[in-house]
Amino acid sequence: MTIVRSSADIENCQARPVTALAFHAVSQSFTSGTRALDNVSLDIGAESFTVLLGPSGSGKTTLLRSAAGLNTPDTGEIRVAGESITGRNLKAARRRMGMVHQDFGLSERLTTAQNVMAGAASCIGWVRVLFQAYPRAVRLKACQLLARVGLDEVQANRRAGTLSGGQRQRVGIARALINDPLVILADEPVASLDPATAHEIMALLREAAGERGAAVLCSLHQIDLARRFADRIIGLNHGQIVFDGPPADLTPGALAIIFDGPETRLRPIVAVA
Amino acid sequence: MTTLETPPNDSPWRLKSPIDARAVFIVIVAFILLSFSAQRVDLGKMAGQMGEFGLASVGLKDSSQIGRGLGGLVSDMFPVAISERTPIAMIEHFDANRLPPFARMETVQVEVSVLDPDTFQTDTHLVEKTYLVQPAGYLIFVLGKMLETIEIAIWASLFAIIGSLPLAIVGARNFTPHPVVYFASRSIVSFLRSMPELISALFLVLAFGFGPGAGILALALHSMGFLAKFYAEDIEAADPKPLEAIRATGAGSFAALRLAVLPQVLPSYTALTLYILDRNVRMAAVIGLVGAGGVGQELKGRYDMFQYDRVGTILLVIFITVLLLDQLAAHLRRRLI
Repeated sequence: MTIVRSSADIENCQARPVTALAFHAVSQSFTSGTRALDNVSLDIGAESFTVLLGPSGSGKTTLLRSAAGLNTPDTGEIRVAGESITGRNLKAARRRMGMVHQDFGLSERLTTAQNVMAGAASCIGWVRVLFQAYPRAVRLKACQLLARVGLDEVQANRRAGTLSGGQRQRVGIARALINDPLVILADEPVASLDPATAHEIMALLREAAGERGAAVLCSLHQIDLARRFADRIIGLNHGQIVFDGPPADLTPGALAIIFDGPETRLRPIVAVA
Repeated sequence: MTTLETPPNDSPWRLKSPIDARAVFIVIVAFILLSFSAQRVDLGKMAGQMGEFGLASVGLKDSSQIGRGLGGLVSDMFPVAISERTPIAMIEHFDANRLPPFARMETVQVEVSVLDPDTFQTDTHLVEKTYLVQPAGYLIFVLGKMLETIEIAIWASLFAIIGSLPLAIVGARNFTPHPVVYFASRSIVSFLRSMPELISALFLVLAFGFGPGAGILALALHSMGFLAKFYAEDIEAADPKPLEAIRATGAGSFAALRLAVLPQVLPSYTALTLYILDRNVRMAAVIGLVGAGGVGQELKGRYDMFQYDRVGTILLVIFITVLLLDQLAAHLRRRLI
């Protein structure tokens, strides 16, 4: 990795802190009155794979978006490698995180490789951005990452819009990794994929992030995938952490607490003949 | 196991109808307003003339006003003027040995009546006059003017594109640096768009004098307003997901605009720009009428001199050019999008 960074940054990267990402008493309400996050405190250990589980509207996405600075919590603090992500630190903090999106977030008319290199746009000058003339180091890194996620040279030069859903998420993972992040935020990365592809993508996310020493905070709604890939599972319901433990502790009782809290009784599913 | 609830008494629920009392009311009000307006604009007279023309053209009536007017115009216009015939005496530095290509000299004898100042008698005598005849001279001249019109349109479109991009970016809600800037940009854009080219050209000709300069500026200002409005709306309507993805990497607004928004809006920008170019060619011909250069200025001059055969040439050239540009624009649109 030869993207120019300050020596302090490099030292930080080499000496990985124990806590990659920390939420401290984070609360957020929306103007509609919904309390999306309610006093959430959470430490994500370096190089861990943490899965957020919870019903729709439980605050999983809000939590991930606040970590990426895409929304600002009302109260509380979020730190990446010990540094708060607010104000001036935001851009630097974002460079230490990669994000994988539910609907991929790719520019469909750019090529696969251009999409991956776009992840490094914050480290290069505006003229290079304008002409998409990325430095050799970035191009090399993008190619290595694309090869790692299983795409070849032909696919690298195809428009991202022509790829299948699984391939697009592979591109998303490569883009998230290009800045050598401390932590990858994955917001339901496999929600729009079929079960077999979802399994492949989750395995890839876990392995590729693990190799590069990046922690993963991933929201999911497939319990089987959470059990299979997580080191640690966080259950969210109504913006509160209602479960925190290894997959082994995810008993039917725990699942009932996560998905069927006292206020929201899931309606029984009625089959229509 | 529950079953689907059936509607009561086996009759369907009251479903929303696409035509309701309000729609009927609006149609009736519009009809009443239009019938008042028809009287004000003498629609009846127009209909009468059209009817008269229709009857005359199938032979049920001797003549009609429209028929007489059109007939006179057509007989004056056709055949259209293709060649140019210039008296040699009017050409400066004429050199008979170096004629323009395809040109020839023609000498005719003309009867000239001169009033003798001593006797106060008119003397008629024959005088030899030499003309330079260029077989396609006028057509080539008009084509040159048409080229100037196209050049005016291209320059105006170029300035409009360059000027409208910053206006569009600060005038898009998701990229504006400040609401005040947004409001200012949108106001400027509305102002530019509300000023018809023909009217701004009228005043710009006063400021800049006759010629293409005023035309370029008049067209550029109006198209800038048009392009900035639609560019800005495209930026606002762009899918926010790639934009957020780029922002989440720590990139600034410029990178987000370049890498997430521009690829999305480029097809629409191309279509809008081609439309503006196409439209500017037509408008450049029109604003020539007020002296802003190009083929329109020539048209206005010939029209005022009642040289309808030349007007006919100009109209044909404009028509064919617009037709060809239409085809070209359609082709480019297919290629680029």
